[in-house]
Amino acid sequence: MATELRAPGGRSRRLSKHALLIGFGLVMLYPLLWMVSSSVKPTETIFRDPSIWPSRLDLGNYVEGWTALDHPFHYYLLNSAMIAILAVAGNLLSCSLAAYAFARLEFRGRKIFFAMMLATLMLPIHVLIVPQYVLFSQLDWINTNLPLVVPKFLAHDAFFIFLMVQFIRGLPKELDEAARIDGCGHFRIYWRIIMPLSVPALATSALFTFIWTWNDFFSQLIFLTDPELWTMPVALRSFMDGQGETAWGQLFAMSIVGLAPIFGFFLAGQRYLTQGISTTGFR
Amino acid sequence: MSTRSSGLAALCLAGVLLAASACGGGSSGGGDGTVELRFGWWGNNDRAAATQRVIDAFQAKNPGIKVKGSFTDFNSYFDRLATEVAGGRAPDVITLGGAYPREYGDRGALLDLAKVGLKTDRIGAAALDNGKFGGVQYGVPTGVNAIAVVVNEAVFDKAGVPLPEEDTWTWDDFKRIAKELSGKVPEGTFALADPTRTDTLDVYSRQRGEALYTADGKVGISDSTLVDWWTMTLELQSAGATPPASQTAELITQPAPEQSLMGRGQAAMQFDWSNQLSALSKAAGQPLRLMRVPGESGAAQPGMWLQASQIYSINAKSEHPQEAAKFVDFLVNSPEAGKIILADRGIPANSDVRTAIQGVLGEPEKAQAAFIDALTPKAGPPLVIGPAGSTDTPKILDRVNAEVLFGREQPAAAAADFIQQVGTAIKQ
Amino acid sequence: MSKRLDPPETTVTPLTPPHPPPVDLSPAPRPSGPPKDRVGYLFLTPWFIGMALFTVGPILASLYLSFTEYSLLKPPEWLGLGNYRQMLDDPRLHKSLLVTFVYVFVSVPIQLVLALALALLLNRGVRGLSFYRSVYYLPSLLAGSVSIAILWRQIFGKDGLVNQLLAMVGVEGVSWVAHPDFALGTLVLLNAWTFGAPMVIFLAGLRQIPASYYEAAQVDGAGTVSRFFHITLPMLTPIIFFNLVLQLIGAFQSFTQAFVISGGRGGPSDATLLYTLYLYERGFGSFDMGYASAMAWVLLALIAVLTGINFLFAKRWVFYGN
Repeated sequence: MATELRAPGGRSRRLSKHALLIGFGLVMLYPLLWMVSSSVKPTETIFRDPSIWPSRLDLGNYVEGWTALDHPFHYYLLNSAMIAILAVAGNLLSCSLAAYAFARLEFRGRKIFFAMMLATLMLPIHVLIVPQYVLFSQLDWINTNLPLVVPKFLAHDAFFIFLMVQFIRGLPKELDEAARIDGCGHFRIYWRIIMPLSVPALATSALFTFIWTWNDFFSQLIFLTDPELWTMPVALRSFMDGQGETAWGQLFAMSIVGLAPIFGFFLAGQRYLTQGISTTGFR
Repeated sequence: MSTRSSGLAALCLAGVLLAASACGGGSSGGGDGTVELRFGWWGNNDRAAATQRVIDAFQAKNPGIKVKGSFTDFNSYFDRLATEVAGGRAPDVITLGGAYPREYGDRGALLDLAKVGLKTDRIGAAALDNGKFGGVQYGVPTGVNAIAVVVNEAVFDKAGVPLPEEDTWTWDDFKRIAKELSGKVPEGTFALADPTRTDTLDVYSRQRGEALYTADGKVGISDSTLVDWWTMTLELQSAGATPPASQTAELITQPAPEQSLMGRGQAAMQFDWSNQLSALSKAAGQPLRLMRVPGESGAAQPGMWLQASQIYSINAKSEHPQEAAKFVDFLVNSPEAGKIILADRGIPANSDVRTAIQGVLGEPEKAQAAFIDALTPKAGPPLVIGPAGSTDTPKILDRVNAEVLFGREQPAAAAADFIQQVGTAIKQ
Repeated sequence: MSKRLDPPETTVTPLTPPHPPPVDLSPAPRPSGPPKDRVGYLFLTPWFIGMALFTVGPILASLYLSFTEYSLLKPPEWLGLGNYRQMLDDPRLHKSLLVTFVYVFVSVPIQLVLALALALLLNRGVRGLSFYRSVYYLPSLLAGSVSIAILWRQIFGKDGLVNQLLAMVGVEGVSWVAHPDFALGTLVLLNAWTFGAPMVIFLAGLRQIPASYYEAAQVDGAGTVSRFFHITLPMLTPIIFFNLVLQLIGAFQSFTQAFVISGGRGGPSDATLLYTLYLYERGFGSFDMGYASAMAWVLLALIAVLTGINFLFAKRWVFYGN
């Protein structure tokens, strides 16, 4: 089903296309390149000398940034990774259950529930955070990972439910009908037939969940005040001081370190990503 | 299980929300009788290391009390604090600054320190006043600061302009010097960044016997003072002594010392807090010095004042107010803590502590301490801190100032606009 | 905030009927009754619990708060419709609505056109496709970081890349990020710059257009342009629609970028005061969470209406099936 049309024309045309892609890529990446370049400059010279070409390569910011906080930086990366991985597991499990119901089962109130689910995407976080905080505070969940993880196991991310609904709708129905005739219950059909066929959609959800959880700052800031529990984005803030000195070089260096895992995750997972979306029944 | 029970859950939540503000906050004790306190503050990891050492020293002296620090950068700190107060879980000891103590105190979130008998006799009266509203002491100053003119001598020298006469210079001198500099400094360097900020308006209006706010919580600055101020800054801008409007607007969004014109070595002068001297010197890579603001000598009253750089307060709902007070007492009154914190939170407000650390301060900190010492006898009356709602004023000023600098509003209209908007903000 | 990348093509389900199996072997639908309801509810149990506990509660709480005066520091006080009435004559709110509409309706089309163009370019037999795809996705990863404000200033600030280029031709530029006439423009560009997600989705869509269509067209002698307008574009409309709805909702909720770039102010003189920025300022800056909640509900209503209109018009131009 994947179609790759060979571009007509010869070598020179291909080369010019690559030149265009690379050129445009450089424009896209200029800020990133600037950040990389600043991360190998001494902090004082970053704003005094704005040229993108560092006069010398100094990895000091990486070394110092890594050890500047109470714990080495990988401690915070691991905290982030743990939350992100749990979030991925939770979303995959709970959203697929809900999606199976919406896509394959008939029950009263289905449309209303579906609309409700989608409406939850439209309110900004800033007005929800206080009631959520009060709630988690009453449950005594503040300063634990629970507020960041438990909702994921309870199908809190409507986007992924919807993504999977679309995918499951695209799967031929005769497969589960056949299984039903063989006497399979709904749970078996879900687990044995639908889930294995949904691998691309699951991979897509996993990828986006991982990236978004990894980058999420605001809720992690609010729910995790104990420096022992800090995640990568929260830890990054402690290189800054809105009022005094900021260790810019270390901030940039560690920002790049924090970016690397999700970029790697994207590189590794993008094959599934395109596959996942392309089969998600857009017709 | 469905809409009905969700509705119920929401109702419960609304109830909880009402109740939460009524129930106890802070952290509680461990099972073994030790009391655990939470201490909230803002800053970076350098400050964190020093703060942890202070906490360790305190715990060594007070075995029954455990202190847990919780910090983040300045802006995030206040988002989190507001959420925590709403959830009834604010730290026991809360760091605040500027108009925030009053913002929180007026709304009942802070403890009256008289109730816990906190010792304040060695703390300078002026700075102490910054934590006192309606006769109630809601906070104690961590240190003392003053608004000053930071001067880069190297830029003056290179331009061949003599330094101002600190004790006698007037606003006219200031204007003349700035304009003279603008013709002689290199391309991209300015006499100073646009000086408009609430602190400079405070000084300027106080010199005329006014203030940004009156004691009873109203707008105190007059139309004509604002008009004179903006007439001056517009003159500086059109003479090229301050940057063009769009560059000024850009500078406002990057408050870090390293990103300021002074921090990049591109300005001869800058209005700033005295405790920024160290960071600015380091960023500029040049020795800088502090000077008193213009117009002090010929004024109706001196406009400069001693400002609490930060304020320690105690959560009104803390379960352990006595222990919290003990910790605050250690932070501000103990020479031992002072020797660790040094001038990081301003020059210590407690005179004993200030004496104790004199010998261990670095160069810029010594200059700050000398500046504060010299200012103390010459300072004007304590500043009237803005009422609740006045934390909006800096943003209002930024907006109106942009209108003026971009030439979209005349000074007279802008003055009326500013007074009206601040008036609305503090009424809410 | 590219994070809110979410919603859905088929909010209103009837638009995409599950496409029928080629040969329908299934037995006639059973009459639906209580046992069937139970199975459905069973599968939805986690969602019900999550919804009741974490979503509906806070959402209804925010609705309740929108009728109160709530300073965060003191318990809320009932106000009735006061907040909503105040919104009618709040000039900054009106300004923020205007700014948001300009932002949304300019940046989303630019972003989608860019995403589509790049997807078309990358779709045509380029070696190293996955590498380019990743490179073009990078800005979307970067856009949420704390450093983005500084990075953006390196391009559009007073001493940024643009002005360095202008200086070469002897023009002295202003600070584009901080000029009332241009600041919103740079934000629009920033949003367009993060076209990675829609691009990946377009790529996926392009790859599922059957090759046979193009082959048939080639036999008929159709040129590149004609192939694009007669095959690619129509076949892609469902995905264009998907991205449109999704990015519109995302753009209305944009916050982080405008916040960090303007230093949390939405300036200069409110030129970049997006609705969510003003909402945040009222809620956390001015301790007026009641008003902020009311603003949130108005935003919800706005997005819902626009999404509804989108679905209505979709019937005219979105091409489903063969």
